[in-house]
Amino acid sequence: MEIVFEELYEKYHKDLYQFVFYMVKDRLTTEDLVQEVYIKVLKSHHHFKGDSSVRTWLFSIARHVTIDYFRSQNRKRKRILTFFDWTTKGEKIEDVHPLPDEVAIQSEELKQIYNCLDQCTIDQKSVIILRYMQSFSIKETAEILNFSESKVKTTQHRALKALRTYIENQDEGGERR
Amino acid sequence: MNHNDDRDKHLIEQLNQLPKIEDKRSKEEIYQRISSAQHTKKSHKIFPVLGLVTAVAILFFMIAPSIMDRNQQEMSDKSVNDVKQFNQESKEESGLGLEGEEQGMAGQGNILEKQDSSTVNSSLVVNETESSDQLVYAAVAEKQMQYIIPLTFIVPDSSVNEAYNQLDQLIATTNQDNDIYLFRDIKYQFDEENNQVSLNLPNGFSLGNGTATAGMFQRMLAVMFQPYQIERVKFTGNLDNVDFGEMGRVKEMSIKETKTFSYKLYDQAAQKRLIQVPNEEHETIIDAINKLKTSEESYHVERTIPKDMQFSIHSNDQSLRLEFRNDSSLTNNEEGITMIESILMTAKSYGYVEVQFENASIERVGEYDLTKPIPVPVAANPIKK
Repeated sequence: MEIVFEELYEKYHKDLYQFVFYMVKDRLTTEDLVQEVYIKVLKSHHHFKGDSSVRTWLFSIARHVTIDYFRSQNRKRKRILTFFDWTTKGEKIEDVHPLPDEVAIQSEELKQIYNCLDQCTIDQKSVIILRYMQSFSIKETAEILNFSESKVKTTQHRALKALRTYIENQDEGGERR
Repeated sequence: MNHNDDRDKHLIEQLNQLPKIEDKRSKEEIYQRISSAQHTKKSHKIFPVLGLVTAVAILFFMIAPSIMDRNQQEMSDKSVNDVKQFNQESKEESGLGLEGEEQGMAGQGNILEKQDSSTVNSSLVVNETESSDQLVYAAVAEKQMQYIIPLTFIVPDSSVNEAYNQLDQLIATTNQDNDIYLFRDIKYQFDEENNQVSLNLPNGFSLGNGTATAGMFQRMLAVMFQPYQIERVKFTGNLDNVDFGEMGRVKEMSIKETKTFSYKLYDQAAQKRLIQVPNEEHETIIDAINKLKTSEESYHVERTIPKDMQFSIHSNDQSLRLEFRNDSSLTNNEEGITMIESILMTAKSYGYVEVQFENASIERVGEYDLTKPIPVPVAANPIKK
């Protein structure tokens, strides 16, 4: 088991951590989710059929784990809303995490992009991270997300457009930071 | 159109410049957490006081849902069978206990002579002690925090409270700087009538983040206090300034440990030590003893039984019978003693009270007379003070 872990760690850990972090924007949550990914992979690596590369298989598991996390967060929000009956005001509650040091020292433009990423849908955000931050090909991104290649292209187009709009809204003193 | 293309191009360039966020943990730490999570997920949950948990849960639900969710796995209630029942079930499930032999030897000792301090130094177990001796059961983890090394300090003429409250000094005498000791500056108060012990935690006591250290801490408590039939540990001190990591705020903890272990040899200690390698619930005593044939080099854990040694294992109630094959040659030397003692401690972990070795090529290994059933030891890794 340790050999499998070591191999995965050496080859993919940095990218895996990066992907999960940019999805959830919180170090502790990232650590928990990455741990969950490894546990799932170590449990099932002998079932891996080799239909895709190990890298895309690992990231597809990371994607599922991350989506499960977002679903649990949504359930939790709904419970809170029911409990307090905060109606529409409550629906706007979002997790706010401080900027990581690595981002805090960047230009205002990069910080703005970092913040606006959260306004994209999960699919859009996944495509942006995989394609433009981690340089996965269209084909690999499609395998990870279980999309067709044309859906990846459409999603990435819409994601860029949406991200641009959010950034412009901010520039115009829009609703978000 | 072109304008949009340019803006997309610029945005993609900017996205590509977003900084790499690196994991600050080491590879070893990550692996250790994963392994620990796998071990603790099913069997190491806290046994909370329901009223307290309900109150805390409601409070958390109101003010910190994210914290509540993270703790849920750790704080959920656990149905714990007692050790005896568990071991009995393990034996039944494994199809053992079919031999029907009437050993009738339980508790009949065959230790040839009482240990003096010199034999304590060469043996890895405590077989017998003076009535005036107080045993202090301690636990440290090897440096990767994967496995526990139980230690047994034999302190003459002392009460249990006095003896445990010397633990920091006792640990310091072992000169094992690499071992991880989580109990520094803790004060102990035994309440033997109620099978409880109170741990007064120092201000700022912290187990750090993550479930691994917290799970290890709970397992260590079981090693330290279960021999005294302690079922519950209470925590006192300034608990507002105590950090149990992901366990959240804990005032007391159940330590009804039902885990079973294979006792292997740890080769990083200044002196040889037996180390507990936890077994899964489905692993029987046969699996546990066969695991003594494998080393785990990355954790500096060595096998205690030669790979090629052949034997069969049979269970009869509280007695275990290990029958060597004809071509298995047992040696009367340090390795032979370690092998016998690791088997005895492993059998003890599964609830057996004695082990009968049969068809051995020699009649005696160290102090052990292999022609008679051998009672399981009192504890592992004695250090006489």
